[in-house]
Amino acid sequence: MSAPAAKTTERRAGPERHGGTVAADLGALLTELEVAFREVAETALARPDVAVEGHGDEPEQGQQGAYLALVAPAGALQIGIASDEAGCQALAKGLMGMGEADPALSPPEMADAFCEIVNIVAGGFKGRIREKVGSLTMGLPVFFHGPAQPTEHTAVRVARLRAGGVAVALLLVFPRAHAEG
Amino acid sequence: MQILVVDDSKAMRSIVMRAVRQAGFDATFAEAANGAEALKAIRSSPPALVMADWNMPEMSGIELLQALRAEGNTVKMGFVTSESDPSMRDLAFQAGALFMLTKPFTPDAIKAVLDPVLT
Repeated sequence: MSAPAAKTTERRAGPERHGGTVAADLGALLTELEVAFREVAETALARPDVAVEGHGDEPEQGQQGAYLALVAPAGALQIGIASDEAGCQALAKGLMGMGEADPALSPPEMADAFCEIVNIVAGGFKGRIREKVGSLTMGLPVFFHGPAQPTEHTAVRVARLRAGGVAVALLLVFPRAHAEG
Repeated sequence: MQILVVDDSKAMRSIVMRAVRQAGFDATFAEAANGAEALKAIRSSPPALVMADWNMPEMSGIELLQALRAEGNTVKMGFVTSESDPSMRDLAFQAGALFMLTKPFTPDAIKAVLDPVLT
């Protein structure tokens, strides 16, 4: 897939107009990400039964998924969607209108479709948080094997969901200063 | 009637083409993975309609539309994108876009935006 590349199609008032940062309220942002995923799961993935099972700060080992950057003048965050290999296959096939009995997508096909899921969810998420954080510029999604790794400067917040039997993790990756600020 | 579908995701190009067929349009399709590829394709063989994503590598959908209009090309074009920001919608229509369809979409939504453009 393509490397992340922030586009510069808009530069309006950013998060600072609300006196905060992109990650001013991470809990609220994660909730909005859950809602955005649920909408896409219901309408595009044929998985209407999405349930949130928990939240945390550590991504699951052994998962793979796609990430997409959302950039504002005051900072940036990334959203991610991850699952195990079978889960990624199931969600990607759902987007393609395929049944679980259909042949497996090849790894490039699966990564491409899964990135598109993240792209669609990111669009909904961006629209939902526009009033909270201002206008954001979307990057391009990238597919990774393995979890996002928290570092000294980067924190991760995770929502664990189940979407029609598929375990899914929604991730917010953000500068640690935002979480502490 | 040929429709050029422009999206960096092959999966999404397939989904768009399938939805157009399901919406009842008798169309053939050409594909491009970004705006630059599409620009070349349109110059050599103008389609009846261009359906383009917004965020793509090399050349975005809006850059494609602006490039076409700058050279006097009036090919019909609309966006199929996950973007729904009102400022981007304004930019698209000011540049000459005929529609801006937000992903995810249904065949009915495709029909609603294509009917006035193609019939």
